[in-house]
Amino acid sequence: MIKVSGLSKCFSQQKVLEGIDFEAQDGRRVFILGKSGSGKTVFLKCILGLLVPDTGKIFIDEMDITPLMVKPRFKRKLTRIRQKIGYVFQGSALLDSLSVTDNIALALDSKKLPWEEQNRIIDEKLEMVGFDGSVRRKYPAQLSGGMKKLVAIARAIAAEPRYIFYDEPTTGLDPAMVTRITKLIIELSEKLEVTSLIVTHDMGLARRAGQDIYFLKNYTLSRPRRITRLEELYE
Amino acid sequence: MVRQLGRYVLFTLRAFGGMGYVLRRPKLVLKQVYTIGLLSLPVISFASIFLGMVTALMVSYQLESGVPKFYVGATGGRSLLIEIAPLVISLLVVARVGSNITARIGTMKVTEQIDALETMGINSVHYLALPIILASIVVVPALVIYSDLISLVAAAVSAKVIVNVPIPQYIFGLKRFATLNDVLGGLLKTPFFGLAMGSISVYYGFQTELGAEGVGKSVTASVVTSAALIMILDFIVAFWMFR
Repeated sequence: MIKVSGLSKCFSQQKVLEGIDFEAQDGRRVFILGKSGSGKTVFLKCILGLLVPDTGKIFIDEMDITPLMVKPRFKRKLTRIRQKIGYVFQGSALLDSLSVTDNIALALDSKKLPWEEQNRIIDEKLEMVGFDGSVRRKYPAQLSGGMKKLVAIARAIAAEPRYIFYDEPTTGLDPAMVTRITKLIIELSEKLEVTSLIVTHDMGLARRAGQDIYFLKNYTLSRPRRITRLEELYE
Repeated sequence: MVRQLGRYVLFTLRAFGGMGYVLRRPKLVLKQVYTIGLLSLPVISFASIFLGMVTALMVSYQLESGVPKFYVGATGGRSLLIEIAPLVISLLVVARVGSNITARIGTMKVTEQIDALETMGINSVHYLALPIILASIVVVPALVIYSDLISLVAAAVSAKVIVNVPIPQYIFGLKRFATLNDVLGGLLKTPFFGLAMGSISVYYGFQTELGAEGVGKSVTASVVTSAALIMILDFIVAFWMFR
C-alpha cells in the first residue's frame, strides 16, 4: 500500500502541492486527474523520491521513505524501495544509446541474472505488451511514439514490481494506440496483481480503467463523488 | 563560485565511489574509450600534422641566419613535446568530446532518462559519469602520445620541404636537446587534463535544467571551465617541473 500524508512541495516560492493526503490500496488502479501543470508528475516523483517533499510523509508498504530521500547514506535503502516500483515516463525516457533489449535489461541489472534468464524475461515482457522479437535490436529513434511507450511499459514491468506508475500514458498517441494502452493497463494490473498509479488528464482513460479516482486542483487532491461529472472539475 | 566548486568536487568524489560497480562492468569504460579516443583520431591526426608544420615554420623564422639548422629540431621538437601537443590536443578533445558529453548527458537529464535510471535502482552518476571520467584519464594521454609522434614527423618533413632543414639534422637536434624530463613534463599533466575534461563535462551535463536552452548553457559553461582549468593545471605543472 502507498500512503501519503500532509505532502507539500514548492519550487522557489511557487506552491505546487499542499497538504496532500492520499492512499492507494493494493491491487487497485488509482487515477489522479488534473490539468497540465497542476503538479501530477511532481506528486509521482515525490513518491519515488526523485523530488524531496518540503513537508509530509510517504509510506510504501508501511515504511516511511521520506527520511531516506534526505540523507545520502540511505541511498541504497531508497534504491531497494524504488525497485518495487516500475515507472512509465511521459516521454518514455528510453536511453537513446541503447537498443530495446539493453533498455529492458537495465531494469534487471540489480538482479544479476544470467544472460539466458535475462533474455527469457525480455522476450516474455515484450510479448506481454504485444511485440515479437523483431523489435529487440531496434533503437528508440527507430520506434514510433506508441511503440516507445509500449517498450517503456515492458521495461517498467521487467523487474516484476509491486507498483506501476504511469505518467500521462496516452498523451500524444493516436486513438488506436490509446485503446491498446488502456487495455494493457487493465490487463497488467489484473495479470500481475500490481497496484497501478496513473496520472493523466485523459478522462476517457480514467473512465475506462479507473477504480479509484482523485482530482488534483488548487494544490490538493480531492475525490469526485461521481465519475460521470469529471468534466465539471476542469471548470 | 565556491559553492559550485564544492558541488563539483563532491560530485567527482561521488562518481569515484562507483569504482566497484564500473570494474564489474568494464564494457562501460571500453565504450567510452572508443567514443572519446578512437573516434577522435581523424581530427587529432589532422591537427597534429598542422601543429608540426607550423611549429617548424615558426621556429625557423625566429632563428636568425647563422644559427645551426638542427636548432629547428631542438627548439621546435621540444616545444611540441613539452607544451604545444599536450595543450592543443587536450583543448581539441574538450571541444570535440567534452561538449558532446555535456550535451548528451544534459539531454538525458531534460528527457528524464537519468530519472529513469534512478527509478530502476541504477546510480546514474556511477553508471554514466565514472566510465567517462576513467576513459578520459586514459585516453587523453594516449592521444597526446599519438599527436607527439605525428606532429614530430610532420615537423621534420615540413622543415625539409619548406625551410630546407635536412631530416637527419632535425632528428639530431631533437635527440641532442630533448630530455626524458621534457617528454615526461609533457605527458605527466595529460591524465589531469583528462580528469578535468571528463569530470567537468559530466558535472555540467548533470546540472542541466530547462530544456534545450539549458543544454546549450551547460555546454558553454562546460567547455569554458574545462579549457580554463586545463590552462591552470598546465601552468602548475610547468612551474613545478621547469622552473
